[in-house]
Amino acid sequence: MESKDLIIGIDLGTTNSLAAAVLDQGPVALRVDGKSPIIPSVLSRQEGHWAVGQEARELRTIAPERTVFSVKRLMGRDHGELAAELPRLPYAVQPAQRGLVKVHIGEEAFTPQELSAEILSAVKRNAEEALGRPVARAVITVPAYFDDAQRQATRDAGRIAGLEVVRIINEPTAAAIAYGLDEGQRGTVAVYDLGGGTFDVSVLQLSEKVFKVLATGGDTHLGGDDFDALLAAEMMRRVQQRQPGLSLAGPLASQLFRKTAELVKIDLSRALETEYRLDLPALGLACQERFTRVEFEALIAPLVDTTIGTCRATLAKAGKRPDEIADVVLVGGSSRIPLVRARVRELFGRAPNIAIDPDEVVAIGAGIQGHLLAGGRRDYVLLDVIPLSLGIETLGGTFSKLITANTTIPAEATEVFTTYVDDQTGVELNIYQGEREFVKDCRNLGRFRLRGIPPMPAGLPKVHVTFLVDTNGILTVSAREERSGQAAAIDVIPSHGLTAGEIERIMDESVAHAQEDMTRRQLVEFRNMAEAVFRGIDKVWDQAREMLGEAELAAIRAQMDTVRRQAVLDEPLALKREMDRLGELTRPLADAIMSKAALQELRRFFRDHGGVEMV
Amino acid sequence: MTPERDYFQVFGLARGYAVDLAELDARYERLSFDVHPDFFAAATPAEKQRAERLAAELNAGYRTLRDEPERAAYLLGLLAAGRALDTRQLPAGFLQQMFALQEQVDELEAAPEPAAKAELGRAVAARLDAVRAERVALFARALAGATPELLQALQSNVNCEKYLLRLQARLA
Amino acid sequence: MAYSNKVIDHYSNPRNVGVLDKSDPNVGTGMVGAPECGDVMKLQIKVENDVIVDAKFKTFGCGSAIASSSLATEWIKGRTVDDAMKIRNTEIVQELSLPPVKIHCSVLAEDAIKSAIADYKRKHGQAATTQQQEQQTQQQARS
Ligand code: FES
Repeated sequence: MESKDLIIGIDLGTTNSLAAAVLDQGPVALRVDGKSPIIPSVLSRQEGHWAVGQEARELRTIAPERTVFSVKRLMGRDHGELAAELPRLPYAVQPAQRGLVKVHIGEEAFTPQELSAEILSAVKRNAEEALGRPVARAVITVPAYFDDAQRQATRDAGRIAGLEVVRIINEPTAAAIAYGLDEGQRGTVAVYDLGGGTFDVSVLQLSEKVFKVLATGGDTHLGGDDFDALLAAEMMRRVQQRQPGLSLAGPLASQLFRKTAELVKIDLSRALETEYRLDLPALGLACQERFTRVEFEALIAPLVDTTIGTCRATLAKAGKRPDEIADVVLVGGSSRIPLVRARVRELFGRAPNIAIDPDEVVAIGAGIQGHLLAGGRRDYVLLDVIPLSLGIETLGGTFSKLITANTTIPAEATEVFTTYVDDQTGVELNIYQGEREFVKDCRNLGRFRLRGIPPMPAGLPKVHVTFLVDTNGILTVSAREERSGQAAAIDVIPSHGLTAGEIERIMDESVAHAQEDMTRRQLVEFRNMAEAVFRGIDKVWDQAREMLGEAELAAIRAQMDTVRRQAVLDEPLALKREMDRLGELTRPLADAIMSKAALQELRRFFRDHGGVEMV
Repeated sequence: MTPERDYFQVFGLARGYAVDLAELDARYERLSFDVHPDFFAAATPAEKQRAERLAAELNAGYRTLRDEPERAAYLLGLLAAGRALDTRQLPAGFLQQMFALQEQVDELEAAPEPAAKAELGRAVAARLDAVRAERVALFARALAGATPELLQALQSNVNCEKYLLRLQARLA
Repeated sequence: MAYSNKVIDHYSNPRNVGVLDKSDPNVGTGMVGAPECGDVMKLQIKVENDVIVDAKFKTFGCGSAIASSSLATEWIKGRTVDDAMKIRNTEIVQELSLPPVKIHCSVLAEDAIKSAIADYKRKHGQAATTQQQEQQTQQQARS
């Protein structure tokens, strides 16, 4: 497949991100030289540059206020909604224009979209290196329970990273694709996806050719992060109890506890108890502690029970009983916790399926969907649903649903609006998403202002407003005035997302960044080209010896060494120059061989077609 | 209001109240392969938009024909073909009964009595069954020849179901 | 869309919720429903010397139906019966800025008033129009 046709799948996770694609050998997670395909979703600002991934992760306890993690939890949310979790974060999050928030590091401030874009860029670079060719298009996964604003934010992040986001796809659905196609799973399947920061459960009907989501439920702010926070708080409480004089305030201590909590949590998935050390000489902290699995489970049980409650509700929405579920698939790093597995097993009365690595399965499913979108296959159709009802604000702040949750998407609703005063030329709509009765309990997606209604007496204009939720779960609104047939203009004032202008500005500002990106891509391209050329030369070396003189051969060999030396440096233009020179040196050789090959080709053609034999 | 598109035609099914659901599923599946936007990823933005809208319409059609109350209201709209019906008509005394039943639910919510609630639930379910049985007969006759009287009777029948479903939702 | 405080007040503190004595010859009782959603409403008026002196309603409808009835009952109090007949749901829609999905809720309020007046007139032997005919004329006016 041509690289321009390739569409990779990216799992943009709260804690980890990775890419996958369908290659000749099938769907695979993209890794460089046998390294892990996983890039921690952490980034650290170092002297005007971003360190992303493992490197940034190490910096969490060294430069906590410059190191950003769990960006996904900030996507498409406003300051008020985040109030509960902001105090837990060591970095500064401030309200910005409209509903946006920005992460402040030193003098600089970044939107969650920009930060996610940095992670996506790192994933993209990693994928390009693994594939040995540039990547331009991607399917990006989001939690099924993400609302319109969170989906848009994700798509915008992709754009800022220089990716064409062909499709936004739900994480549990992606996992189901992987199971449906790789494992041949059929029947009614439940996907339980507990990640670092989000929880989703989806119930799907998998048949030979149709993967249909029946219902989905979840919580976009519940995941492994919350377990870590509970554990860290408990660990801190214990230390404090023993050493009441110690002051554990500040990001340094909180990050040390968080990091240790993560390790303890992972240990306790394997062992029944674990020991850990906490050393922070600056604060006079040095201690050795113990934690048991039973203690840990007591801490997290209420949260795990919440997820089980959501599973029950989602099954009901799908019209299924637990015993009608043919298989339960576990996804997400936090699904490794024994208590989670036990509770899931209890609910469904069967052992959950973990045949595909829960860390990779979402990216793999997205990669398969990318393959389908690229036209690589056409043998299944994916029917997903809108996770939350969509509607408008009505009198007294009540919420009127236009499209209800769990409706198959794309879905469309048309409403006819009119004017209330004579010659009114505009109508304003406030759009919300949620399940509650009052808009204050739902998410405000934005205001839509219809303009350009022809002046008429009140009540006469009939403006047909169409709300279309597309396959990505993203809303578009269009309007037409019936009497005049005129398309009414719509101004969209998003409540959380970036406007088109803002995205453009960010992209302009990151021209330097884009250049760097370009450089990387070129480098990858030129290195691959160099390798191809070397292979070509090797192949014809014997013939070359017959055709060229000793001096010419030596010059070629010397230039090949120069190219090799240049290829390990990060200077694509210099590499290109040396490659061009090599090209010149080998031109006579190439010409000679080419014409010979071409001649042979022509001969074969005429022979096969019964033509005249050529001399 | 006359529907813009005949969903029965879209799915290639005979117009009627009884629908072979397996056949409907199979046709929905086949049509999805034709219009789903995922098969138009390489198309122009305008074509993509068209696929989104067509798929949305297909989904709406499938939803309508798959659900009995929706199918009934939709088929009635097709049969009425623009003829004005009294869209609010109900059998005499029906609203009074509904109001009384709603008040009973209120009382049960204030002072829960599970046995009485279950009893009420059964009564509502039985009435729903009767309404649906009547509808099958009415549609059979209306499809043979849609007289204004038959259409109005169907409208009244469809209306009754709405009120009973509302009660049922509160009792669930 | 910012609703005026007055409107929100009709929603959170609906006026005239309750019942009047059905057997009182001066009380007219109307019972209506909205087949769009299956909600029902009872509205009663008390008439003295052809003037509506009191009005009460009870509904199992949504918030918009409650606010519409609250507003409409306030409007008709003190008006003559014939004057009250002139109330149109579009006025309620306008006053409360109801969106299309909620128009039927205002219709419920209008219908309830007319149905109550019809009942009152029936009690007083002046049923000029039957309720049925009335509803049909209203329908034509609306569509
Ligand atoms: S939704 Fe039923 S009266 Fe408003």
